[in-house]
Amino acid sequence: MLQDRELGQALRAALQAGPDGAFIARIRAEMTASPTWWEVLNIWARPGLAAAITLIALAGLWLGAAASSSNGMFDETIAAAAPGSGGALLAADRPPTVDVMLAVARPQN
Amino acid sequence: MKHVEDAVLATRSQAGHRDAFGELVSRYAGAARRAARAVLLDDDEADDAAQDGFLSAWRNISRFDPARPFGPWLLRIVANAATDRLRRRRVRRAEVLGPTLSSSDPSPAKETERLALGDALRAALAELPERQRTAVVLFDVEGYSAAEIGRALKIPEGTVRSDVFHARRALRRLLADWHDEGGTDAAGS
Repeated sequence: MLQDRELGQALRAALQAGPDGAFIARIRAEMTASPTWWEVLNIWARPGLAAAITLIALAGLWLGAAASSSNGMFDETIAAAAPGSGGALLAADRPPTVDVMLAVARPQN
Repeated sequence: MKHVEDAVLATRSQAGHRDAFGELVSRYAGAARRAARAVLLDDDEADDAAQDGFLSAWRNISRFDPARPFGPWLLRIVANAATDRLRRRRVRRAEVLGPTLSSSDPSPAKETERLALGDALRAALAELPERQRTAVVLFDVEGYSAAEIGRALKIPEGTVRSDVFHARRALRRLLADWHDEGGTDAAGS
């Protein structure tokens, strides 16, 4: 089936509206007025990031507080550790020598 | 941006570039307005429908497959927007558009033959079923293939051909009547 050019041209003229300029400008303005989902996402990205950082910081503080309260028990455990054991190694003021490390690592029967 | 292909502009639009979609709007504004006019036969309402279609296309541009032609995809959205408006109008006014449409248009006493032909054609279009006039406009005015129109209107290709055939026959007959009543050769045979 071929195009009926004569009828097509007549219909085109009959359906032709005024210049498209104003129409195009109207659509562009509407596009600007109604942001897309990614633009909404972009708008919320910074506040969202700030909120996430704040939450992480608060969670860190809370965890830190919880850990420091249990550290006392941990220190006591280490202090009570037998000389030459892993606990004593952690409680020591100075880094251990290789001989001490090997002694601790050796399985004790 | 004259030589940039539609697919490239559509891909840029999908990445959020308004200017790229704006270029597509510029390219298809005329076709979209004509297609909406073919459905609604009302200038202002057709422009509103075409605008609805463009904005809907912009919001849903992520669903467009750049491997396919942009025109039929857009015109389907515009035609749907126009059809929705037509349905709402029918419910609102409970009336059907008739051949008196042109008589409501203000026509100066010495209007040109071209304008008279335009009036006759719009009146002839108004007598056609909505799908037939959409099909004939997309085929003969916008130059889309029957297959593309079928995909756009979600009807079989054979139905498109049938619609175009019947629409042409009716338009030619009505234009011949207009010609016999004092028109010019512009209406063709």
